[in-house]
Amino acid sequence: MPIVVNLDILLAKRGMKSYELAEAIGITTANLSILKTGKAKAIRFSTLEAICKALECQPSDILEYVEDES
Amino acid sequence: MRKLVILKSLIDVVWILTCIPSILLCLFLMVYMFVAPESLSLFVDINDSIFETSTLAIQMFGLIFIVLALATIYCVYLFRKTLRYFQKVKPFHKVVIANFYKIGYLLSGIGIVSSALVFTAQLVFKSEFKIHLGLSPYLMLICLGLFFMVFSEVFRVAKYAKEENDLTV
Repeated sequence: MPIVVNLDILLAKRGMKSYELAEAIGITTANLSILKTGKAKAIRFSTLEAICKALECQPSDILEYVEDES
Repeated sequence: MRKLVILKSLIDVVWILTCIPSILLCLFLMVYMFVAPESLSLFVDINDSIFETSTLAIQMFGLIFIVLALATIYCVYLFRKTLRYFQKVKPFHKVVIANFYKIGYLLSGIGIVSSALVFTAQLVFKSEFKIHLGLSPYLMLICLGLFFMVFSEVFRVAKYAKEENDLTV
């Protein structure tokens, strides 16, 4: 998938644990893990909004487009 | 889910009371019709004179009909197996989709072969040229088979939609 989710980097920068973010945005840790590992096929605007609010960042900080080499 | 329980019970009754004895009967008849060809007159409405002249042809027709009957029983078995997945609340399992496709394919095939066989049998043994244009059980069987195949496609699309929904955060 050419869309990379940089949630790990943001969490490390903020010194926040995954479960804390999951709690803050109101999703399960399993779903957050799907998002972090890049298995997610789509993200709701409401989830993106909640993540941006919790991490005080912009959507572009979370999602990045990297061209597929294959 | 009460409807599912009723359906499963009905299929179970059909399976136990009809299908299992039919398997045994078919297997017995498969052998016995070669030993005593007259036994086929129980199922086929033809004159005794034809039995004497074309025994092998009748036996071959009988054999094909028994194979078709066994294939129909296999369809019931697959349907019963599929219902078990429904009871486990796994309607979009890949086995369900594969079973529906297999049932559809088999039923359509059975319908086509049966109608061709009946037509040929009437032509060969009774010298009658009959084409049924109305609703016949074979036509209904083909329709049912195609319906199951469409059902399988619908389930394939639904499975994809469900997966996408599950992976939407």
